Amino acid sequence: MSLIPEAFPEPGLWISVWRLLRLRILILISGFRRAKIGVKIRYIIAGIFLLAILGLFLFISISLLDFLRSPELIRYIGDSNLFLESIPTMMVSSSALGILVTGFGVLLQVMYLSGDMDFLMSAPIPIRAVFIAKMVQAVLPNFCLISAVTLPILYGLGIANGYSVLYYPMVLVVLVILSLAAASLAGLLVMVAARIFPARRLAEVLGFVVGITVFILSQSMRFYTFEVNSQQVSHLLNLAARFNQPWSPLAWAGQGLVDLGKGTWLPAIFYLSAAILLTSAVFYIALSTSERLYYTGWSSLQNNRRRQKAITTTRPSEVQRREVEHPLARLILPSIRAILAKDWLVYRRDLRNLSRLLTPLILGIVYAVSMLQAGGKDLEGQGEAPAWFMNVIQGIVVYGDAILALFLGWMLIANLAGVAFSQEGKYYWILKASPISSRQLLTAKFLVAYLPTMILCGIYLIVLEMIKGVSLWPALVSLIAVALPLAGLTGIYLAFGIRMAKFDWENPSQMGRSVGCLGTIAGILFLAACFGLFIAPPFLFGLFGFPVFIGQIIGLLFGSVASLAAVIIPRGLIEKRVATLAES
Amino acid sequence: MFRTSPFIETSHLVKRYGDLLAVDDASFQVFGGEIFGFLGPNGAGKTTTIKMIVGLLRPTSGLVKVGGYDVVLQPLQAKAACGYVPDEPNLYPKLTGRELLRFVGDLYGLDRSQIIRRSEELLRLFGLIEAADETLDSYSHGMRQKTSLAAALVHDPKVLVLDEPTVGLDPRSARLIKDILRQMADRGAAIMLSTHILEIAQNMCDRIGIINKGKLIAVGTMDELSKLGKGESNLEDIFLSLTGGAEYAEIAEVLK
Repeated sequence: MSLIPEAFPEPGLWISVWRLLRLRILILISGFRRAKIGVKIRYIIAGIFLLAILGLFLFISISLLDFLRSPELIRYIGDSNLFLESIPTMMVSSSALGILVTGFGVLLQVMYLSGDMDFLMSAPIPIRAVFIAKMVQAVLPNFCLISAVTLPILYGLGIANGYSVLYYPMVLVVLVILSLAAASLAGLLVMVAARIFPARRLAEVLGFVVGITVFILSQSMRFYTFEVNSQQVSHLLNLAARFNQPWSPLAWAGQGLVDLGKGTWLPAIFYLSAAILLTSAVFYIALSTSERLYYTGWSSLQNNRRRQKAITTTRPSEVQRREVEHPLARLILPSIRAILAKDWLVYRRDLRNLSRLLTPLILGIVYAVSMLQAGGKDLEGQGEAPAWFMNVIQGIVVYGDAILALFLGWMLIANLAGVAFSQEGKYYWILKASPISSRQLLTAKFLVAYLPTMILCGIYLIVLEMIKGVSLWPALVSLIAVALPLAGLTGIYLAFGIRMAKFDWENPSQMGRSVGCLGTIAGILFLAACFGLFIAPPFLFGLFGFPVFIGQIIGLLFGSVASLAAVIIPRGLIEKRVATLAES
Repeated sequence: MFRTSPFIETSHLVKRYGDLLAVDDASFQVFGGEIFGFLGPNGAGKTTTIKMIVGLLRPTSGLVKVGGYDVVLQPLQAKAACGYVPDEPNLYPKLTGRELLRFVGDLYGLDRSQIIRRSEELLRLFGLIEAADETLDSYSHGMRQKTSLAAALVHDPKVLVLDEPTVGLDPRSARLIKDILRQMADRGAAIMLSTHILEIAQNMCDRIGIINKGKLIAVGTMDELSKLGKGESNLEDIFLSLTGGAEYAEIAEVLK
């Protein structure tokens, strides 16, 4: 006897897909409705801005494509028709490739880390509907972003070339089909990757590698010099035209679109049918393979099982002796030392945190190399400038390394001190329930941010000054003029970070603004003023003919007092707040 | 069981969030050597009360003492006497089990040899020794729950406060925890635990407090509680009778 009183009416595939997508749309609308008025205004402005960008892209595309067909340019670079006809292929191929690459990370997130797969898979709806809905959900934002660039270019090409009216809807159809096929391939790749690595770790590594690579590439562009001449432009256009190869399935779609636009129907039907059939087949095979692999638990089984570790049998007394005998360890309270060790371990092991620290370092190295490439030596010759002016400029050049080191330190401290408390997140209860005072906690967090920054900036400055051959005394003054203001900055940013501390995040990117706008301005002003206190007296002494050494001593005194004040005063103001953190 | 001065003492404890009165004038005591069960429906104020006891929340008014120390005025002494196991085992995911226990030991000011000895003992006791060098993000919920309990025991506290300690544990681990709590109580520690599993409360706890809508509506031994109710002999009936069982009857009716 069946337990179900009536036969369950099996819902259709596309009805189920729509139901799942409708739920997402409802969540989006509900999120917008419940958002604060400021957030709503931001969304609306972003929407208008996006539309304006789309319009701008369309306008630029039409103008640019018209320009490419102008006789003056053809005289300069040769015939551009081949290039113009390869644009659809380039655009369609790069869209598909873009979806494949970006879809991997998003699909990993929605299939393995969102936590709703079990719920959806156990619901009486076709598994395929779950997969299609997940795929659309994952790919749609990236598809919209990519289309914001490709559609205006392709439509611009159509308008500029006077293509047939059928060209415009077909562009959209081709982009959608190719994107879905690319997404299904990305889904299959996710399955394979999740079979080998734990999904969460994979997402972390992916985010880290992609973020750092993009950042390094964007920064390394400053070392390349581009030269625009007719030969290079012509070579570049020919290179782009080479994408349009008849054996490439991605080129079929592009070629079909061009033929459709020109009204050469037979090749258009042939190329477009071949492209659509092939991509549909890829989509179907990849999708059905993915869902079968997921359902059979293939990717949940990991084949990289770690080797069984031998139980460590370190003798307690040995470990104790080794740690207690460390001379520096005795200077710091055990509870503070424990927080330092914990925070540095977490920073090192969590790639999401590590990438925030590596970014300033990369930037610091890039700027240092740029500065050294640009000369970085003392000024030569005076020209018609007065002597006092040259003295001031010379002084700034001498302390240029220190300014660069301060810049690096500022970026590091904004990332370390600003989020010193927020980064505890939902684990903050461990510190809050333990017998450590607010003062100890503040000291620990101060050292967590300041010590590595001071060491890194110190090494950075010493290396720069060694390369430039700066003598010992100015180098020492620079070192102090960097180390102490950074201590003050740590105090200020720690205080602002506590004011804006957020503990309810799931992902470090949700920690929010580390010190806020006011904190950033206060920090930069302090750094500039404090550094000024260090270097202004020697300048002024030199300018008025007094001994520069005495000016340097006075600068050290003023700067040290200001730095110390910035460490102590914000700490005193914020100490009571620490006791009540994470109670709201 | 021996009665000493109370290890946990709350007096006219109030916690207010704006208009919401989460805990309303709660006064009770937990003595050394006893296990005190803290029961109540969802949203009754159990976790809020517990968080005030362990120093995670500042009371709006009233007094909380742990180990004889005022949690607001002498927070460090009170916290040093106390171990806490939260309802959700949120532990630093990038630390290993062993590192976490040593970290907690350092926070409680234990000396190194003591920390190492205690953490190895606890890791072994909870069956975590083989996973001790794996980061906590690779632990199951049950393993994290056991690690959380081990962390609360590192400094051998005189007062142990547990919020839903058996959630997500397999029967063997749940039994282990019950045995440990009983042994600690027998050695003179005060144990306060909140649970929704009334069977555990009935079998384990020496005294039980029931909180409903922020008000402590009953405190006593099983015998004392059954006198407060309508003569029911089991805790489930007493609990439903005191906290309003009618709504449960309605739910059962709907599910029929």
